[in-house]
Amino acid sequence: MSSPAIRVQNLHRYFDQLRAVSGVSFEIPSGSVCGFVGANGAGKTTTMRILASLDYPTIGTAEICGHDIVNYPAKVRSLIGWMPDHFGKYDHMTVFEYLDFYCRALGYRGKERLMRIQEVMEFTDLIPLTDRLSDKLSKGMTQRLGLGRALLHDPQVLIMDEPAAGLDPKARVELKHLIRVLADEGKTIFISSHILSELGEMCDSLLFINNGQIVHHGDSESLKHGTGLQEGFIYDVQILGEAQALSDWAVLHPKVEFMEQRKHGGRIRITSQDPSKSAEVLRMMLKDGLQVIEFHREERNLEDAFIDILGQLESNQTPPPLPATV
Amino acid sequence: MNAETETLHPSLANKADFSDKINPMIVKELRQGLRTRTFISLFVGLQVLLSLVIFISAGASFYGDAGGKISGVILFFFTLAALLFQPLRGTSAVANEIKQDTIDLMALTKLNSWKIVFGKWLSLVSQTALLFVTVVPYLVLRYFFGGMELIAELMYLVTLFIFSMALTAITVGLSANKMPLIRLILPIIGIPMFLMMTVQMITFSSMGGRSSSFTEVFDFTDPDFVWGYLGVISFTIYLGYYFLEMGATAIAPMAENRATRKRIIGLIALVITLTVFTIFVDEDVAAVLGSIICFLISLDVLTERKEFTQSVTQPFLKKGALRILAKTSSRLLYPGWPTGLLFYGLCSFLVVGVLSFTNAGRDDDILGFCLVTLYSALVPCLLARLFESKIKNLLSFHIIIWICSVIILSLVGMAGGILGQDEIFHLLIPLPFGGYLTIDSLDIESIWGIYLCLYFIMWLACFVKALPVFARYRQLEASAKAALENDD
Repeated sequence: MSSPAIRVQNLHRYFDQLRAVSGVSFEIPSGSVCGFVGANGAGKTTTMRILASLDYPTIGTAEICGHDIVNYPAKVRSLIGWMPDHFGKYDHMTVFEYLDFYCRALGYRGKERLMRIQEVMEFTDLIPLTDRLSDKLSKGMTQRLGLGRALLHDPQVLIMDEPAAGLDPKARVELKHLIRVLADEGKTIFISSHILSELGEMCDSLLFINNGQIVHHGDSESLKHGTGLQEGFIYDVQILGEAQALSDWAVLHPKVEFMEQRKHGGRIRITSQDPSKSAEVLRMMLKDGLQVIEFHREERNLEDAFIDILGQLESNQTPPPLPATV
Repeated sequence: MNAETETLHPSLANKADFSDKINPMIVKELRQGLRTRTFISLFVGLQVLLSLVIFISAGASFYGDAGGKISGVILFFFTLAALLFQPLRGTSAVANEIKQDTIDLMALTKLNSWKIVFGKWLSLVSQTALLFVTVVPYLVLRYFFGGMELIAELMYLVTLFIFSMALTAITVGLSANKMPLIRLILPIIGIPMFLMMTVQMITFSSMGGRSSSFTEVFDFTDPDFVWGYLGVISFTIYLGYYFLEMGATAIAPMAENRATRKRIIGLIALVITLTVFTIFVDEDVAAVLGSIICFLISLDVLTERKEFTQSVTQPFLKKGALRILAKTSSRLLYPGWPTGLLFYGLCSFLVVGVLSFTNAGRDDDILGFCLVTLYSALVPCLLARLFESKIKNLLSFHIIIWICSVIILSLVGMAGGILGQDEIFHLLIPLPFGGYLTIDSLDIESIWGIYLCLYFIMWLACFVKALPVFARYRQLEASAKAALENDD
């Protein structure tokens, strides 16, 4: 089994009395896309800056493709592309000159440099903006320029901090497409965003951070279906007749929890991870005389899942155990 | 995205304006710098002014010394551009990159902190050179007005250019500091002071105190002046290098060792100054310059952060006969104030050696100046250790302590002068530079006794604070050694 692209172990980062990151551990396999989710100030940017070798852990270690970020920053920097949430653009510099500067700084020379810039500009659709001043670009164009810069040295791992922040829907779709293409090329992408639905579509796994601690690490499907959070699945059940009949029925069945009454039925949780249990519950409902006209598993969106996890933490419930690897 | 295209897009095909051999920072800074309003205004303004001067002087050439006056005007405006405007442009050089978060993006490339700071400096210097080159045609025109001393005027321009390089290095180096007080106010106050001191040093002191025109000074016929000139130029170049390194250190990551090279160069500069000036010029000058260089070194080595990574220790982990030498030198050359303290002790020892074995130590003014200067560098270091958790910017802290001390000394000095009570100055001896007020009232033995004791106490107190850090360095070395053995 190949070593993970990103490995973080017991990472702490303190700024005086403030614990920005507190005991974070996770691994991201090579070639996967991992979303990093958390409220403002949760510790996302600090963690990402440490991974980009731009900051140092107070305690703990972080590795990129097996290289320690503190002791071998030069190696790490050759492996990562870093796209911060905000970056300054230079006055009096065109898009080409901006990329040309970074390409020179990365050690590319001669025609190879120009070819590299062209490749990146074609990928990010910046060719029409070649001679546009970099400080006169829209937000979407700026993000494409930032992505282009991060890709100049063809990094194995891409770390993107809120790349979609402030983008209009069209630019967001374009960015999402570019990220998907990069993922298909086998790059490892670690991306933070507030737009969870988009992360869900793009990411193989999601990492939730709150108050500097990882509170969930799993794939988006399990979050949508509720696994990894509370055992079981939630179903929306509609019946003919009195809705009360459903709750009365649920009381008699220990594996079924009635959650909420609705006009023609209600929501129930089947407290089992076994999918065959659902079929059994449906069969029992029918057998007990309930006239079921709709029975479908609810897929929660990621925002709900995130809120649920935070809610659980606030009510002092123990968060689900963290998997060792995704 | 990896699919390579064979031919360049037409819009990219003609984009080869700068050679690949040029430092990328210089390419960037020149692209930006040559388009800034400040440079364009300065460049066009200088041309317009000089053209006007030539035309007006041509009309009035029958009034005697028109050539000399043209030279004066040309050199005045060039001096203003080279020693004031261009260096001041450096005050935002690195600060802007930090402010706009672009310094992080640069750090992720193959540019190390030195290349970033050096590139910024060199691009500003290149622009000054461009201004310099454009002044030359006016000097050629001025030749036809007569009375021109070509060598002297050119040497004056070259000297100005070297000073401009050093001043630009100071502002660029300090621009990496986060405190505006250090970044802006210091150069704004420091540049005019530097100019005044330089002019005074070159035109008066070396000519035995008699006033003279720059052309008389720059004909290099006076051997004292030649030595003085070479000394000032060498010191200026070192000063420029020192501040650029200081800027590079401020933005360098923990894994980048900037200290070792900087300290070795500082030590060489100190040894050469002490040796050359003791043998060829004057022991007093050697001691004074030595203590000033020591003071400068202290500002850097005693303000470095103490943390670094195990990769920094690896070049010092030698086996066999070199082991002891490598270990000893590591304690002087690792980054951080604890090793800086040992290094500063060594530098101070060299200066004290010159004072002890030459006549410089028998002149109470020279002895007092040197020992007070050496001691003054240590006071903020100890204070910084006492309030370590509260201090985020050691360099700023040191400078602020010195500024506060100078303000207190000035106020007390004025009060003491008005009241006629000079005894009060003895209370100020422990303050940085406080001893300057009392040198006249102390004999040579007292100066030696008081300041060597004070220095030793301060140094020892700082050293005690440094001991736990040395223990951590040993741990780092052990883990680096283990990592190297694993690699083998």
